[in-house]
Amino acid sequence: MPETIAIARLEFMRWLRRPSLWLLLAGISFVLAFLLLRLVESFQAIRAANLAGMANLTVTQAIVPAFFQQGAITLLLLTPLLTMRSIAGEKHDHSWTLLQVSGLRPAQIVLGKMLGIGLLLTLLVLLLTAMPLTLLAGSALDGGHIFSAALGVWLMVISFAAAGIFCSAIAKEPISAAMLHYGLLLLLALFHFTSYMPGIFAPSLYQLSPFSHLSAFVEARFSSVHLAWFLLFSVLFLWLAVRQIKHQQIPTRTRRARLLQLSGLLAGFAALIAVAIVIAQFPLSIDLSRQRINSPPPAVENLLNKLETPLHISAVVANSPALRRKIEKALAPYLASSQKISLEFFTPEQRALQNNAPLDQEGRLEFSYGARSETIKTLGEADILRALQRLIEGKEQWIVFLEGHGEKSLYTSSNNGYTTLNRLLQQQGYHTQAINLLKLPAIPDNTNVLVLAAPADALLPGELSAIGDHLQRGGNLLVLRDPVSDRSIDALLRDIGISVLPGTVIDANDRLRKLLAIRHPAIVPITEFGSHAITAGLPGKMLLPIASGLQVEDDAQWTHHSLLRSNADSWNEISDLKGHVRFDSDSGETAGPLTLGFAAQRQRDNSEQRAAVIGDSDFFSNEYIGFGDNARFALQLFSWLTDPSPTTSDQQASIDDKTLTLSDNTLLILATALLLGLPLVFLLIALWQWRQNRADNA
Amino acid sequence: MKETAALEAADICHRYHDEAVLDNVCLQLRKGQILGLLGPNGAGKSTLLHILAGVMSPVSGHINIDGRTLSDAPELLRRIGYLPANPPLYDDLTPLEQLRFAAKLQRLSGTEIRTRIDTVLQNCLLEEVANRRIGCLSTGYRQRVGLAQALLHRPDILLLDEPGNGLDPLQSATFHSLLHSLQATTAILFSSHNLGEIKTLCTDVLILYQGRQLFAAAMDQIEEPLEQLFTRLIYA
Repeated sequence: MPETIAIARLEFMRWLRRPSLWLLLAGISFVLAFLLLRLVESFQAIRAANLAGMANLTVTQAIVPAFFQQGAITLLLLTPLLTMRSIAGEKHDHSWTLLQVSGLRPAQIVLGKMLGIGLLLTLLVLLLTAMPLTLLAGSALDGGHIFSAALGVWLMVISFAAAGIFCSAIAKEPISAAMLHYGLLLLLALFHFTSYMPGIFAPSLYQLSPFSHLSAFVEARFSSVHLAWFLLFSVLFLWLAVRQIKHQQIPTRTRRARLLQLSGLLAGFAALIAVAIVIAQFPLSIDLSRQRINSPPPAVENLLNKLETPLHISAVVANSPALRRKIEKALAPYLASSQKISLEFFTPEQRALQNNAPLDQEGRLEFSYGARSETIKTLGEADILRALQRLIEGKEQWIVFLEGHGEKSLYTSSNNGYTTLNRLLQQQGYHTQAINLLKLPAIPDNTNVLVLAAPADALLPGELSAIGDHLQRGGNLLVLRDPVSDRSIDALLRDIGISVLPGTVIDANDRLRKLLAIRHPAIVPITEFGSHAITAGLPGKMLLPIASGLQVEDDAQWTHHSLLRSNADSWNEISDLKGHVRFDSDSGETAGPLTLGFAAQRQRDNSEQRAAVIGDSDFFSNEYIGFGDNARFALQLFSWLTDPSPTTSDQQASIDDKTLTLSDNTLLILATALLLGLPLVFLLIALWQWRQNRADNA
Repeated sequence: MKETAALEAADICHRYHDEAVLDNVCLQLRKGQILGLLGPNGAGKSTLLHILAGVMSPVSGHINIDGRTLSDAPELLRRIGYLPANPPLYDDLTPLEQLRFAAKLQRLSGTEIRTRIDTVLQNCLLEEVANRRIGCLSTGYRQRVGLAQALLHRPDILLLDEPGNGLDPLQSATFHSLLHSLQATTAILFSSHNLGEIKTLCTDVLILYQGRQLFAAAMDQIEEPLEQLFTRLIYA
């Protein structure tokens, strides 16, 4: 062991004396600082723009995974330069003979080289880790998440260094070793990219790719399988390097010796594969983030604890590795939380043969628990939780539509009806029902959302009172308010702090209207969405025909979020929509952009009450629901209104890293220190080393 | 009772790409003996020394150290001090650092390291350059650092490949007296194509030509002048 340490120490010390190392460090620290500051800039831009669906994004989640992933690639590109000389360089300089005649075993030499380079790479990973920690000046950070990411990068670069030592052992010249090592890196990168392409080898290539194993660590998902992958990768290449050195010292010359060597090689591979299989049989997963970003919320864990029999999830995926991985990632926390949950993938063809199901099943998740089953087609946490609740607790989600006042009907299949919406909701596992308050005096207690879909006739005082009681009980409400809807429901809207602008919203943006082939100016295109879970990930457009503008009244109880906004060229036209219409501020019209949809929520004891008001009912109709993002908006709207998960504040850990407060001065100091200061220090050390070497040469 | 040879090589054969570079070479080396390995360029001297030092293994043949086979007991390599034609040195280290590293590889203890390094630096006249980078030293100094490294762990057997290369006359004289001082405790084998050096230093001589052992005898048993013998054997 002292000899191994002596080799490691020499390897490390010799690197520290090379000006080239310090030059590389200067370059790397500049690149890493640039990456970090770009990510900080992006995060602050997201916060400033208040982008849809980004409200819960934390500094750690926005910066750490991307920074460590890019940092890992930077360090990987450096690794061949650090390892190429380890053995090939010694052979080239003849110093290798000293190690050969010292009576050391090849394993001692290889281990010594590995330790020396490993120590150097550890310092580089520490440098990488220290950079995001500078953000503590303006935000709290999830230390567990950072530790996990740093551990992943360290394991990755160490395993690549092992491969580099093997390349150096088989090459005669350092440059050949570096080329070979870069070739291996390229091959593994190709494995990673091709693993996202359809094909039967995609899963195997994905497992072979180190980048897929790294991504688990940078997302704070520790798994014994990923750890084992890196360790086995390192062991494999170190073992091959030892064999190579032995072979160079004592070449095999007889057929028997070659056969023995080959059988030893095969036995070694078989042993490593056997170890990998055993480890894969007993996976251990730990969420290393302090905020438990990879764990189901406590409510879900409680729910999963109630599982009595196995719960099987069948995912239908045709030939899309990316979708398969998305599903695996979304369900990973549930699978890790309970051994009773299992996941299996089927192609639509297999599913069709098994269940006589139609072939358009791509992306469906079928949950089976005992005799019950549920199917969902979205991967939202709330959707999965709802499905689990229905299965495990028998808890059903009821969406109740009021009828009897000329509302849009769930059962009318004409253009004006809601049969398509009804089918979509039922596919998501919701139960829908239309109720008439003249026949049923109160809103049923198990109603999760009450929908008022543009009643054309006035609601009776008793009916308004029943709806008011539903609100008072903390029930959720969706009001679709057309310009021609009866004004009796406006009193309800006032209760949730929203009022309706008179008239109909008109859009005069001719260019956009031509682009979307919209003829009628009262069909309002929506291209701007507010930041909210309902609008999260809506990249496109919606159409709202004959819509009302809405505005928020002062209300201390409710918190409002704008969901849909018309363009700047719009206004609420008060006159009849006949002939030529134009904006007239004198007659009380309001210039756009106007809000056409609000989400509102308020805290009620231990739960959150939710309501939404949309100034249109036609966009859910059979005629318009297929346009743009209308259907997706509808599903996300109902998903939010029926969200059974605890409120955000209940889920949050104690770390507050949603905001990054860096004053201009602090940011300037940080940028100067990281972009200029640190590289300059490394450059000065390089210069000092160079002068030292020159002085010695003189 | 017959004295066991410190180093014994029997029937050493070696080939590079089917070309024989050593063909049934045998030698015995005892303490007190300085064996000169003589031969023109390409005779196989360096290959033989590489094999004896354990850097490479022969295609066939055996090497024993004090009766034990080298391939079965690699730790026996620690009893050998080896200075190849290109001394195995790190150009970015100082002689002091180089010797310290070599001493650790040879498992010398802490106090032993200090005393041995001081001794070999003194014996090889390296004290004045002990803290300069090896890369900046002249060939002669590099050769002496290599020699100091080979002597550091007090080996029983010393294998030297063209050790006189790059030494000036004064350094050569010092080197020769150093070898003589080691002769009593060490078995020494050194290769050279310098007949004068062999004549001055060696107790025995072994002549190699094209991988074959042409002649081996004690110097005092050679009846004709070495130059004449060498020329006769080579051109025979």
